[in-house]
Amino acid sequence: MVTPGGYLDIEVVDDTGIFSYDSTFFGTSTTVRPGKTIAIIFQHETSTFYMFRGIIESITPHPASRTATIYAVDAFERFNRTTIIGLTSTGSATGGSNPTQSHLIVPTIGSTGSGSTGNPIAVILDTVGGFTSTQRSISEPGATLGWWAEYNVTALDALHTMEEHELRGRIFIDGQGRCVFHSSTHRNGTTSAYVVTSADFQDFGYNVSINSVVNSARVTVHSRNIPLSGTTEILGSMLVDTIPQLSTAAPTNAITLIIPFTQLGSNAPQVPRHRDGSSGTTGEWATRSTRDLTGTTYDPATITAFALAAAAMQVTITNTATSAVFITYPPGSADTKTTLYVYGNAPAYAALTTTTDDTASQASFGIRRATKDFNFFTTSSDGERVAAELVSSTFLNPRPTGAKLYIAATDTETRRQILTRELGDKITVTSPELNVTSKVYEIVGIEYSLTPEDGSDTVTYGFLQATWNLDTAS
Amino acid sequence: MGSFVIAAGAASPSGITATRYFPCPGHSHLGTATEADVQTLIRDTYTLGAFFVRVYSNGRNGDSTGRSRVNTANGAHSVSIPASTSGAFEDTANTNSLVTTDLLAAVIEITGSSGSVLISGIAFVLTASTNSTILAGSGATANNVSAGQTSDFYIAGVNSGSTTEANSQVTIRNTLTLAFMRIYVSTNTINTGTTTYKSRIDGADGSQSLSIGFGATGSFEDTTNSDVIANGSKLTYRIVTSGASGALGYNATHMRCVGSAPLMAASQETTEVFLGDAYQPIHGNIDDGNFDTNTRITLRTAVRVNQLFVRVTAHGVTAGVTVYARQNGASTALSVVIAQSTTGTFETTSTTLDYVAADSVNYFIDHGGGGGSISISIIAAGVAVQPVVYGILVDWNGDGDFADDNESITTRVLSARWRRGRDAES
Repeated sequence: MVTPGGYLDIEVVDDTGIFSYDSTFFGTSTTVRPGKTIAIIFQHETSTFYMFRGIIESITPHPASRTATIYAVDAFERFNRTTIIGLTSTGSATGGSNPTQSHLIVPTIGSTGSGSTGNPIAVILDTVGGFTSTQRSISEPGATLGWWAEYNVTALDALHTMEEHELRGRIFIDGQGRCVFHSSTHRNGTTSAYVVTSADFQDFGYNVSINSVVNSARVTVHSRNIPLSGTTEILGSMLVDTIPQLSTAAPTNAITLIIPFTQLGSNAPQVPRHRDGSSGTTGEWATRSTRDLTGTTYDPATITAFALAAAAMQVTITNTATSAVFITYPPGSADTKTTLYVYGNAPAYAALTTTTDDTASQASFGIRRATKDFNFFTTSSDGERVAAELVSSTFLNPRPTGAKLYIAATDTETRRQILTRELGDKITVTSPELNVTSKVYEIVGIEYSLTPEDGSDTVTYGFLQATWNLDTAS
Repeated sequence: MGSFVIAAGAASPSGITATRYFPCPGHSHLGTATEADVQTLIRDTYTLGAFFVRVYSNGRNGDSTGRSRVNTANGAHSVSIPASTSGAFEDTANTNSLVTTDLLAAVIEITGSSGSVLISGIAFVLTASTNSTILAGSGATANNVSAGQTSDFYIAGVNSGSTTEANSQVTIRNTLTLAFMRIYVSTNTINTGTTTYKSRIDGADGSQSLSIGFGATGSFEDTTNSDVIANGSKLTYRIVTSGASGALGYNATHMRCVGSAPLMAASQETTEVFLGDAYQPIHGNIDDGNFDTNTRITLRTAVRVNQLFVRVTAHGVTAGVTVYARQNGASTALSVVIAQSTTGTFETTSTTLDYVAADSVNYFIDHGGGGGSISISIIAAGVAVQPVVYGILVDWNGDGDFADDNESITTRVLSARWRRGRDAES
């Protein structure tokens, strides 16, 4: 599924089939394929501006018209296609300690067990891969999370969760293809990057809909208190008949399994063992030797485990023997010997719900409720704060939304602004036609169109037009 | 972002025998011992880059040093000029950060006991996050305007002009905004009244204006008003001195120029009479010198020029005269031809000349080989805002760059649409 993040749609001349599947014009017969990096740059005076950087999603020749269409997407699509099985490292951008086995639910960062949104974003980007420190820009976060973990979600969903917890956070892909996170601090800033009046832009408009009204909020904070001891409950299990053979050398001398929790747990999970028919005690659950298909018994593998998320734990099994090792009996063995169990102690759980209403607004526009669930806030005060912000005076009455400012590179200044403005920048708009006077908006999206002034091989100039999608900045 | 060269030049400088301060941009004919006279008041945030000094001739028996000056202290730039050595001297390694209200100048420090040093060019590269630079007509020697006089001055080049406004006007071929108009009055013996100093656009008063009381000296600046200049406008400063006796002497005049690029203009107090070929600096003072190398500066930033403007006040040469923009010692196609017996303004805007950073540049007046003289008050090159050049690049071979053959598909693009945004409604 293509996400509604950034995209690039180019129509190119293709009178000789150079963009066709079998073309060798750009290299070998397999060169013209999706997946290649594509970028749009603008050079102005001594500066180079990256206006888009993404990955080609499709190349479609149109032989009849001697053209081809190249469609590309930005990193949002990659996030959408990357599943977070489990998060096992902290981010390099803002530091932090690695998860340890000391807590089943891994705190994001630091010895206090609390973290902030910037760090989880770094962790997600680390997990996705390819976003080095120069390919990310994470502003100082504002929200503090009581705990945080993700399992079996897309990176996109995980990033959206962080945006939501920041409430006024913004994650986007900039022109250089970097993943950028703006905290609420950034968005709440008032510095305007550009001041425009009607003489500067082609058009400016918005719509006013009753759908913009929020006069009721129901916010639930899912709190989990983590007990510090206890090892008697089954936290998770999995059938192990698909666990692969462990060889004696890397890279397959160790395997990592992600085991969903049956219930949330705390403490160090007990070392996984073969179930041996009876429950519970250390002695009965001692690690056992395994044997291969021929029935030969070897020394046990080293098995370690720690929790990595609210819904799963990570188990690593390392072959310390001199031969290949199977972690369990082959398929067809007794059920009691094909299941891997992890023991621990389940944490307390409480859902704290806050409801905020504005009856005056409801009398005028009916009840228009926003319902939010926040998994990683610990206290009810966080929910109260979010609810209060959702039902602030800004949202009690219909307001202009979906504002669009159309601007063309008709002179030096507009050209410079088109080249340099980025999402999150503030624009101060004066439009007498709409009785708008020095109103500050935030850029939340930019759409560009480029039409070369001529189609010759010498074309270097482009007519560039941008539509800035704006939202009220405060 | 914009990087522009700001320069002070003199086609025929006079020698200095002691440490002297120079304006930049402006006129480097003769320095002054009073730094305040030539300082430029900065009204934006800039990086002051490459520093260039052209020593026209050097008979001094001691070493000299050229420096940038910021707020009456030595800046980061310095060039060492050995005794009896002329030529070009550069500091391309050091920079200074300039912020609003900083005061900028240049200094040539002199040692030794005899001989003089002639400076024909001083330049810096000025870089701002916007297309912001400085337009200046400043000089180390004060221009004295008598009481009760109306004079119109050049916006760039020297600190002087004419009582005939047309002779001082230069045509702007860009859209720009001028602000922070400033004049530094070094002497003022006007006996009464208030002198006005104002911007002039197409022969009418602009928005910027200053009032200078009789006897008042020092810095006067309009920090409130600005002028938006349209393509094709003709610009001057105007000073209307009050009183019946005395004179007002001024050195530095300048404005912040935003939204486009400045002129590289050389001008002369009245007009300069040329009896033969002559080379001129790109900024500062035109004169009858005929020394190619001595009038050149090295740009150290790429510049696109798309206008050459010449004002001729008299033309008695028995042939056509051609004025050229020069590049590394060669005349270029950016030129204007002044037909025999014609006067007025001569301009070309149809030719574009791209200078690269390493180019050394000046103007050349080709007298045409005929007898007689021609009088020229202004030569100006309009610095164009560099066009946007776009590129659409594909890393076909996946090596992490776009530098391989055919990885630019720019020339094949018929249209492009793209979007950047969040993956969510705001």
